Amino acid sequence: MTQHRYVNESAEVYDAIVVGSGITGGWAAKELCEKGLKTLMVERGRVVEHRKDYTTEAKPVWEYPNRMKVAKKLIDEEYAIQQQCYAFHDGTKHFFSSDKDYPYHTEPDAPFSWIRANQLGGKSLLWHRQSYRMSTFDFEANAKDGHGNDWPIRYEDLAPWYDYVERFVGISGNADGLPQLPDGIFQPPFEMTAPERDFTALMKDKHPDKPVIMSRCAHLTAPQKIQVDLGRMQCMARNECQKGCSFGAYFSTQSATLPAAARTGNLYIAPNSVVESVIYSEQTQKAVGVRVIDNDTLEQREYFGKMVFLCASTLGSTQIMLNSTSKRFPTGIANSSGVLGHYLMDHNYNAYVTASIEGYEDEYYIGRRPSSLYIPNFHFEPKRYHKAFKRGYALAGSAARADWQGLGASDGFGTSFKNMLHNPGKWGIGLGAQGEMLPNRDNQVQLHPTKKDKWGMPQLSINCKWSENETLMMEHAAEVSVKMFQDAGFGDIHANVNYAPPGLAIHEVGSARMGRDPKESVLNGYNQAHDVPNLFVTDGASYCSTGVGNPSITFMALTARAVDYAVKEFNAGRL
Amino acid sequence: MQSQNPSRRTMLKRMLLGLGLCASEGVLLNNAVAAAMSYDAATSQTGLFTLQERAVLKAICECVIPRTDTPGAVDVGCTEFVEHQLLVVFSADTQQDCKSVLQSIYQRSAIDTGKSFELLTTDAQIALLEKLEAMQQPFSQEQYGPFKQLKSLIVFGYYTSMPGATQELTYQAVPGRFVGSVPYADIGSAYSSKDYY
Repeated sequence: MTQHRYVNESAEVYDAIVVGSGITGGWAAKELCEKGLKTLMVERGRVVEHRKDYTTEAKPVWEYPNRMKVAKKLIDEEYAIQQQCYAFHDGTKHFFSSDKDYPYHTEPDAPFSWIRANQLGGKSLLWHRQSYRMSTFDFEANAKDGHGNDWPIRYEDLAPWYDYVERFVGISGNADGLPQLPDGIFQPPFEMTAPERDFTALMKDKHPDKPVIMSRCAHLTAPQKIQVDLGRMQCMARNECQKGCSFGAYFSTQSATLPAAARTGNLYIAPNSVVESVIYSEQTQKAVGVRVIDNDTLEQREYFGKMVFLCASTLGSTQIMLNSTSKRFPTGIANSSGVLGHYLMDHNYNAYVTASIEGYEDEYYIGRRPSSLYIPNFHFEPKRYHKAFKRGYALAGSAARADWQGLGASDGFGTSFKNMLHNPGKWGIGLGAQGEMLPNRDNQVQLHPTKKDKWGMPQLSINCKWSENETLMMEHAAEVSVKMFQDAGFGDIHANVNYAPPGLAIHEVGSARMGRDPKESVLNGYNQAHDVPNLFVTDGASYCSTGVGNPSITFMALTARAVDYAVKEFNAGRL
Repeated sequence: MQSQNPSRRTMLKRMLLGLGLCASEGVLLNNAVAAAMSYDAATSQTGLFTLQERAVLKAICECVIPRTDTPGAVDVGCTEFVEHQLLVVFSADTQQDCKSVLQSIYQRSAIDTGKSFELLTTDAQIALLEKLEAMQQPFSQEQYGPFKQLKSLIVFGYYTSMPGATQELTYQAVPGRFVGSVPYADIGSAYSSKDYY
């Protein structure tokens, strides 16, 4: 397999520059390289090589000094924000960025948890891998209920690109035939446990509007040639993905898009290169490259390209754009609309309900499943909206047996206590909400006027809050989950609604949105900047609404589609 | 701790053989050895407990998970692990709460029996701890919470130790696939291996 080449100083004018190497950057680079463009991928963090740099993979828990827990001193000093992420532990912390090195500003009344993963592969190494297409209803929601601007595309525009990326990524799931959750190109779904199967069947009868399905995730359950050719293999059901997976069983930049891009011979990578701004030529009115600060030496250098794809994550790309000022764009590149930085959104995960399930003592399972039960949004069009709030939410969760960790504080001592813990405990089930957040101009990121990070970049100042709509939605999600559990005959039902600030879904989107009207949006329907034809932003910044599903598969489809358009325009001499 | 290296080595070897990737085995194994060598929990951080508190804790460890046909909590180093974990992972408040509850147990034993807790028979030790768990006088919520914390830590230390994880329960490093429904008898114990601990 042809290798990519690492670049430091370079005076070359590349056909394309891709900023970022996560899910979106990996896809942009793969598509550009495969279409024959000499492409430079610029990554602010260190190199992480597939397999070689998964330093904690397969390391058993007893070999960690703190048995997977992270030292309090280290958390207090460097990871107070990052440690809020469920996947942060002693085996993954090296893939999260230190809060100390990556400061950002929030007002006291508007906390925001910005989870960072600045290395080659970005958050593609850490993501939760759940993969749901946005539906016709999601793309129409803004137009129909008047919140936010109309998406300039519809489901039909993206459907072939979903097909395209899913075929490559490998999505495990079932074709469920639901209007609110379009089916895709699937490999076999993971199995349900016995109580989950019965719950699913029972809800079909008692809550026919809330079908329970197996979640869809980017894991290979029946690898195809397109994946095997890249050295990828079937999922081993370890569910320790965030340590890195040498089987390449879950989709990441390292397992999939990077080797695909590298084998074209067109991929060049500039690691440790913190993009400070996009260089804009007043003369040609185009982007001509990027200005970077060396991650280690803090020296400045520039890279040049005929087009620039910003794929640095929603907030990362927005920060770069805001910092790319020029005579024509005094408030940030491609910001003639003044919309850049506004309409930041995240998903709301603030409701969770648990219950216990009697029986099934003879039932157990093998392996650790990387998927869950999933109940797609059932408020998916205005006529189905609840009277108290707009839009909707999905529910996700699993049934499993209690174990020694959950039972550790139980009463008892001696051999009988040890024998009790020898066996798994009762079955329990949980359902958590994943709610949509309405687009709101006041939810904004700006550059802080005085605070800078160690690279001299103005810090982002994030001001983003839930509205009453999201809070009411969470309360409703908890009520519905309770009702479903009651109807299933489950006991010990506990509903939790909390008010954690935005950010922790790690689905931030919207701060450089698409739109038909250049006066109210930054990007057109092909993720191309209205104002700068050779500048594309294909990560979550381009979103007009959150939809309900996990967004990464849509980032991929948008990116592949945008590259296809960009290369056609490039070849026609229009970029 | 060097004796623990082969486990990861074996797992990696098995994985790598499956991958057909023996060429890079050296790299991974070097990482594994380096990581394992850096672990010395028993001596790395001590100094939270007094000798007396440590003696009480050791006795509690044996009461919670005794040696049977598999090692017990003391055998696998839970006494040292709990102290290490409290020092490194937990807050100063939790550390003090745990010290206090050990002192309470020591004092209760001394008052009731004239003996240090660790010198009581196992039955007498358990009887005293059962009183604490039932919050019977003179124990109250003040001791109950910290004691449960301590107990959870002992349990955590035991089942995340290699003997606890592999001899007492079923440790699946590489399950190979997910099967949603199997008779429990086919597995025969709870899993010690988890996706998140």
